[in-house]
Amino acid sequence: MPIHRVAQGEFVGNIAARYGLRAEAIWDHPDNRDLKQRRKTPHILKPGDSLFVPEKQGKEVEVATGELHRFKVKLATTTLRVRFHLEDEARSSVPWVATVAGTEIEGTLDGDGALELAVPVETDFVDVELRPEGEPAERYRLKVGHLDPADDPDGVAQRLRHLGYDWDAGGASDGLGEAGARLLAGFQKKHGLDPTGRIDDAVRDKLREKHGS
Amino acid sequence: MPLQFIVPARRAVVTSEMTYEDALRAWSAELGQRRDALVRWYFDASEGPLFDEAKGRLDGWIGAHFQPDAAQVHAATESTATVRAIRPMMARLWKGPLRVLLEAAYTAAHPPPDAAQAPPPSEPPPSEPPAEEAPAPTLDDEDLDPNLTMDRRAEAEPPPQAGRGRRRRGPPADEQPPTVTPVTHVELGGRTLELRVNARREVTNPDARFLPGDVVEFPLFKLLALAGKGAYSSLSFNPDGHFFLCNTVQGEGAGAVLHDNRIAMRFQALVAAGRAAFYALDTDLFGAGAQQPPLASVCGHRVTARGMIYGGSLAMSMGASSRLNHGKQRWWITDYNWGTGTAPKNLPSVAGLATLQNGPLTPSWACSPCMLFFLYFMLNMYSGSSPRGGGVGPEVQHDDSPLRTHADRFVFENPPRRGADAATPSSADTSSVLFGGPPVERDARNRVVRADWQVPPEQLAPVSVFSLSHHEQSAVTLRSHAKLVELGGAGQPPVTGFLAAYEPLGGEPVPMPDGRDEGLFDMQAAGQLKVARVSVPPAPGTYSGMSCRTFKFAPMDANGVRLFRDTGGDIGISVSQAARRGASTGLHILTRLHPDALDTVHSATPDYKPLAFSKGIGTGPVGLPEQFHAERAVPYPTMAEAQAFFPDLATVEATRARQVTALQGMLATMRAGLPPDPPEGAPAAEVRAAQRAHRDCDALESLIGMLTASTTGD
Repeated sequence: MPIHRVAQGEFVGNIAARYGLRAEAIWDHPDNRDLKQRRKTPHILKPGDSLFVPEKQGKEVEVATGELHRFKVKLATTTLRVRFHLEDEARSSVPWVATVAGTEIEGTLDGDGALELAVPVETDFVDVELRPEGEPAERYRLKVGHLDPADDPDGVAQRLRHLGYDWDAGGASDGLGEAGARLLAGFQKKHGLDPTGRIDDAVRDKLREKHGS
Repeated sequence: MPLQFIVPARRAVVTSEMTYEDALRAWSAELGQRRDALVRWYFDASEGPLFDEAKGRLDGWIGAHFQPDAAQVHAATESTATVRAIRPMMARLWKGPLRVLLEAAYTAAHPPPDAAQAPPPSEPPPSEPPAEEAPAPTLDDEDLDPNLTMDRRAEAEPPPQAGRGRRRRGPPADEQPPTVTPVTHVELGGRTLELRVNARREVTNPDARFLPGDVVEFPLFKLLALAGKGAYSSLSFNPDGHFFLCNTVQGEGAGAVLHDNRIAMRFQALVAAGRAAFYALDTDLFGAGAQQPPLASVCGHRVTARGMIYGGSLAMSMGASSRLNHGKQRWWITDYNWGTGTAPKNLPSVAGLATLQNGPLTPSWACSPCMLFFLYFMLNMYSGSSPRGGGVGPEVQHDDSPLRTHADRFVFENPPRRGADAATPSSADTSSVLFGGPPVERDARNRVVRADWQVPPEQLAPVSVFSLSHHEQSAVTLRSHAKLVELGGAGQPPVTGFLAAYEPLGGEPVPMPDGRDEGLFDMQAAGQLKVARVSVPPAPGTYSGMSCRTFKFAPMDANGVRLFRDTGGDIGISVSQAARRGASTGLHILTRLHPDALDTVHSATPDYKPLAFSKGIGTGPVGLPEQFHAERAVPYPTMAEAQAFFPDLATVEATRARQVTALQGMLATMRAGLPPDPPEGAPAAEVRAAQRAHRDCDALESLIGMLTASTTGD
């Protein structure tokens, strides 16, 4: 019964695909109960998490010899959803082009400023280019499965960066510098929280809410 | 630091070549350093964190904008990630002299493609000002070549359905919406540098580099809007604004006050005007007989810089007087298209100078009434005609000025003597408006022979102009930039009460003598804006141009203004340490400053005309109210603003009437208190006292008569 140590970019879906399992077979396994309780979602794991991977259960099919048989393999896909905001307004109707494993897909952002892509679960990244009218194109690399949990300092930093903050200048650890504490206090003040300048549960919850995950 | 902030946290002169990113990071650092002051000026006490939050997002934008690679988004599957951006925090650029010249050189070396091959003109983006709001010519460098390369992208095919994507049918094409971006280049140090600006003169290409002499303004108003100050959200850079003139931002933001260095800007305009001048990269231009070295060398180019692209001329005296006689003579100021035309006319360059040969040029008034006129207008001190017809006229209307208070008292207590001073009232600069105050030395006949008076700078108007011995000077309160930042009162951005001049090319503050960061200085400008013959060796011949000298700042000794009256009855003053005596018998103080002039909400329109002209007889009709104010060289962004600040005929007359009424009241009181004529044989002292009393009344009556008889000249 292997224990899989989660690496950056991994989530239950692509781990399951690697082992030839369904995601539910791993996530719902009783041995993963603690992790499931801690992480809440199979889509956001923290590097270093231990995931129990059950043995693969083979499937037997009886077929006649001397004939050609076709087997259809269902490739696991997953959905990526990223919404783009300008300040606090959705950037709707902005054309975009995404490149997934060399294939280009195009669309426009919806009314929520979001693009949604179904990609193979083992996709490592998706390149997206926004092409706002009259302005330079913007390029993003969506690193699939790389978002860390919000109760992790790195997860806080990632969400703050996505929301436009220069968190690197402030520091992402608990030992916040003065600039980081000020920035955080500003975030708290802006969202009606007590501006303590410290990362607490209220900050994490607000980050999840604003970030969407 | 390669940025010298001439307005804290807003506007800066580039002092050495730097990248766009470094410039924005320098702004961010400046915001950090000025954090407490900015919070004090713009926010309630509890809102400081909002400033920090906005600055954190600014820093995030800078990091993203200049990142060469794609922005990284750590996405989770089956859930949403939000990527939030802010509006671009691009800097607004005024090209400096070096850039303008280098661009001209590049264009000459790389002529634009044939017109037939040039891309067709495209519609401006929606954010551009509509054509009917096309700006008036600006003072700055925007000499955009009509043949500029346009960065035009083909229109994209109809967009697909929003939200979910679809696969492309063909290879990626150059599918950008049309943009119109003036592109210019310079060659510097073996590199070709590209610059793209949008309709608001914001620099759009992240790889742009700023050059020495460029002036940049950073969008503080956007930062404030980002921090929740909604009044700033509708503001934008004014493409016609000038960094001298506090009209760099436009919009409808009610209550969107922005701190500025208004007086300094106006003063700086004076410096530039006073320096008039010209610059060239590789050619030394010098007035005949007055060769001057180039001021700087940048990347192997010698830059002969005598100021910014701003030239002024005041003409012309029709009489023998060396000063203007408002209403009887005419004057005008013109800029010869410097700063408003296309190259080379926008530059006071060799070619630009060649266009001046037949133009009216400044008479060589030694102490430049032109400069003082600029000063009056720019500081709202000009109040119309001079009752005595003098060039610097006694428009002493600032009732709260300590100078005025002392002067009034001194005049009252020390009227000119009959006989010796008989001509005084009609002399242009010898009327009896004087300083006074303790300690006062009196002679045996109880006449004031010396009055020393020292005044702290904070009690003075920022600029107090006076004439002395037919020479105009100013008592100026100067403070360093660092000191300036300390001056903002709680809750209010500082917009007045300081001067902080800077070197136009390098941006360095004008050095303050003896290392002071604050003090009262005597400012004199001699030989400004006089006609000069300019030669450009080895080319033969000369051009008509302007010559000038730099301003002189001298610290006033112990911030003191010394007044004295010698035993002959002449009155003089001294500033600094050198007493002046002799011809001077009077002093005019011009310290009228509109109390609200610098505190109103900012707005701007293209109506602004920086230099104005034609006044008086024979200069054509004034058909529009705007013209009337424009004639006063209104250095304000809107005519509405000008109307509020500048006195019109009615207010000038009202002021005069008020003065007359006050003086008449004073005269009535004095007459009521006059002693009866002493009987024959009365003691000499009694006779002298009676004579003095009558003399005082006569002097005051004479003054009232002059005020009453004067005309506005308009």
